[in-house]
Amino acid sequence: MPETVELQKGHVHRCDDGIIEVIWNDDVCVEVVDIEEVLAAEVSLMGERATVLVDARRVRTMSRAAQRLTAEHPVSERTDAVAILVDGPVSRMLGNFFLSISRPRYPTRLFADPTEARAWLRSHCG
Amino acid sequence: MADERLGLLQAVLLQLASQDYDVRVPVTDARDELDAIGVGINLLAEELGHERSGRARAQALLSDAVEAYEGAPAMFCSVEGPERIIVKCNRTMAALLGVPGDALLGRSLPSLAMAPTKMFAALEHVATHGGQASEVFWLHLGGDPLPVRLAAVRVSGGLLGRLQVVLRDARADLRAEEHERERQKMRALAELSGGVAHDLNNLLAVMTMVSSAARDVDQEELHELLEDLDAAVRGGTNLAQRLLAVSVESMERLLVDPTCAVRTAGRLARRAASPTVAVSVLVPDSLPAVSVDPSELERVVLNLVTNGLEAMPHGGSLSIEADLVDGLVRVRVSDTGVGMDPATRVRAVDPLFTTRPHGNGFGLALAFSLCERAGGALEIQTAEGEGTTVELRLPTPSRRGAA
Repeated sequence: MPETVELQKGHVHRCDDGIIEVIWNDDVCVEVVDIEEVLAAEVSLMGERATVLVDARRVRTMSRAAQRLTAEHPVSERTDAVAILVDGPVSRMLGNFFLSISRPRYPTRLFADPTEARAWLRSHCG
Repeated sequence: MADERLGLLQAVLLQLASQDYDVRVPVTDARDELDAIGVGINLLAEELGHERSGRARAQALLSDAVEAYEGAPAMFCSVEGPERIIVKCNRTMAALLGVPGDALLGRSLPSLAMAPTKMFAALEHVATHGGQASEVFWLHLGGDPLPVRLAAVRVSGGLLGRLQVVLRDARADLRAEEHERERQKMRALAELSGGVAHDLNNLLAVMTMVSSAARDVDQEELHELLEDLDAAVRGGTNLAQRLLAVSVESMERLLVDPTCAVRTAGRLARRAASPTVAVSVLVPDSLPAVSVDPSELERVVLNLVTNGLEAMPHGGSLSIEADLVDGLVRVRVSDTGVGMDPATRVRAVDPLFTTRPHGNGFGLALAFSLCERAGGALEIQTAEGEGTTVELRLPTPSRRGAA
């Protein structure tokens, strides 16, 4: 089973602790097609269920349709929790919009510190 | 620089306020607080645009649904409460009942029926068990009673909650059922009359031969007896021919211009009518040919004329018309006479049924039979005390071929 899937605008990686990492490249504008790629990669890497860490610190913007797909795609049924890494006003705004408007079905939180994010995700495993 | 970016944000917000949701804030490389606000505004603009197009779609769907409800070929209404009060009805219902829509609101639906208790029970039954009520109910609001078939769905509340009721105009169903009954009667009679006429004809042939042979015997008394026998034979022959005319197998079909038969009937009507009856004949020079026995058509129209004249013992007007409507040759005989009561109308085309002391009950039966065999239809419009119109509709061969 591959541990990393390279994408047009980032990559998806399965860590040793089972957490799926989604890392976006610098300055990307995320569209629906990008989310479709990410979700397909997640499915190929995840087992029955997964927790996901999304590094959105360098994302420039993300369309409404991309946010909705992220929240509503069937893979969300197999997602235990999602932590989103943010570090500036833009990524924080995107994260807050995602939380309050798209309302994902799984537990979701914004973090500035990757270690804290991983600890929180581990508490949601299984 | 910051002032310029703030001005841009302000301009975008003003455009959003004027409902231009396609506007976007350009995001810079600074990724600072102003960019964050710009990203937020952009996402908000996308949300608003999406919501507006969703609302427009919903409004279009709602408008379609309302039009489908209002203009549906069936009557829809919502009823509620123990009296089954109409709280909403569609345009079709008001139109078919011949009243403004709001005249129906607040009225009990079963109370509009000629059998309210039965309709109430049927309404509850179909609302509980589904399907359509087997009975036809007659709604009556002062005009002509309207026959309807009934279905209902319970949409809210308990037993006395709101029902959505569908009423379907059953006039065409009833006409078709009546037509089918009449056709079956005519078939049965045709079989019977064919058999009887055949045997009777054979018998009459023998009687004619005997009569002819006996005429050679020169005895005055015998001659008188034979005259009587001749008269009886003529009467029997006439009856046999009339019976045969009802039998399908006996008919000679030709393509004939129906105007000849109608004109002949018109001439005879003018001669036979009393001075108190005004006769009008309206026939074009020619009409497309129809496939009938020409002598039978003439006899049928004459019968209708005779019926019309006899229905006006105290005078009136008789009109005989022929024309072409939608590929059908239409022959109409109308009188302003006594008309028929509903019971007479129901049996009018039954063979041997007559209300006249010297009638033989074949006139309208023959007319019906002729129309049936020609692939057409017979329609009778009548009202007691107002007169009767009998209309023959005979398809032209091209119309029959198309059908």
